[in-house]
Amino acid sequence: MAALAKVSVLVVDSDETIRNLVTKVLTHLGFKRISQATSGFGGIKTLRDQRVDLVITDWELKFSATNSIPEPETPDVEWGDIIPDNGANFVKHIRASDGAPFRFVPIIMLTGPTTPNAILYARDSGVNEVLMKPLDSRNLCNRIINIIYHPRPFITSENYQGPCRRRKTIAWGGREERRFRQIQVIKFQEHKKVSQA
Amino acid sequence: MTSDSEPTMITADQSLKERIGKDVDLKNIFTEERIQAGQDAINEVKKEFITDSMEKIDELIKMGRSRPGSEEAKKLFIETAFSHKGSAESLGYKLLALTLDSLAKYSEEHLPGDPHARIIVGKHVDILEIVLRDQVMGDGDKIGNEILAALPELIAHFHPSEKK
Repeated sequence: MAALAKVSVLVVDSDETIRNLVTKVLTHLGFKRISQATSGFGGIKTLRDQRVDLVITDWELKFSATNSIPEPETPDVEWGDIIPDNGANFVKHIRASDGAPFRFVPIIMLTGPTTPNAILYARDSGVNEVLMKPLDSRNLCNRIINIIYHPRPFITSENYQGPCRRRKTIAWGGREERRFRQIQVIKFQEHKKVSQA
Repeated sequence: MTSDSEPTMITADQSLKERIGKDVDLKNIFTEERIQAGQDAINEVKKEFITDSMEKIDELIKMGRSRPGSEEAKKLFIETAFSHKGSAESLGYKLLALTLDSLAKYSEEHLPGDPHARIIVGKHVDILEIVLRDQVMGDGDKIGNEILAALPELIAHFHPSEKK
C-alpha cells in the first residue's frame, strides 16, 4: 500500500461519471494521489503544474457538445502546433513537448467501440497501453503492470513520437536492420540527456 | 550511415517504477481482493447508469417521435450523445453508445430540415426504446449488430452521397 502512496495519477475524461469511476477503481487498488482533468487542455495544464507518474485518458475527450476550441483560460497558455482537442492530440501534444518533464509519462488510453481501428488510432498517437471499454478492473491492473515490467524505449521520428510500437521480444538471430540516429539515456528526475551511444 | 530523417531512440528512466520502488512486485499489491473491490465499484455504477439515463433518453425518444427534424431535436440528440455515449461505452452498453453516436452524427450532417428525418430518426429511436426496455448490455449480439449495420445503410439510402 505504501508503495502506491507516492504515485501520482492523472485521470482525463470529459465524462464525469467515468472520471469518478476510474478514480474510485484506482483508490480501491491502493493509489492515493489522483488528479482529474475534464479535457486535454486541462490535462496539459495539470502536467505543467505538477508531477504526474501515470496518465489514464479517454480517447475522445470532447469538451462540449459542439467541440469548439476554447479560449485559453490564461493568456500565457500556448497550445503550440498540436492542439489537445481530443485524446489522440492530447497524447501527441505530450509526446511532442520536447524538454518538458512530462514528455515520457506512461499513458493508458481508454478506447471505445465507436472508433474504427481504435487500437491503431491509440497506438499511433503515442500511448503506452490501450484499454478497450467496457472498463474492467483486472485489465487496468494488467496494463499498469505491463508498463512497469515491460518498458519500451521512446522513439522520435518524422511521423511518430512515443513508446516503440514493436512489442515482440523474440530474440533475432540476424543482423539488426533498424537504424537509430542516437540513443539517449534520460534520468527521470531531470529528464536531461546524459549520454549518447 | 545514419541521417537526420532516421528515428531516434531514447531510453528514459521510468518515474512510475521509481515511485513504487524497484524491489516492489505490483502483483503482490494488486491482490484479488483489491481487483474485485474495483470491479464491484464498476458493476455498481453500471446498474445505476441505465436507471439514471432513463429520463433523458425518454425525452429524446419523445422528441424523436414528435419533431424529429427540428433544430431542437438536433440540439437534444447531440447533447444526449455527448453526455451519455462515453458512460455507455465505458460501462458496456455498446448498442446504446453506437446508436446515440449514429444519431448525433446524422443530426450534425442533416438536421434541421431533412425530409427523411421521420424515418431515419424513427429507426434510431426504435433501437433506443428496446435498449431501455430490455436494458440491453453489450452490442445486442447478432440482432444488435444487424440493426447497427442497417443504420448507416438507411442513412446512405436517403443520402446517397454518403455511400462509401
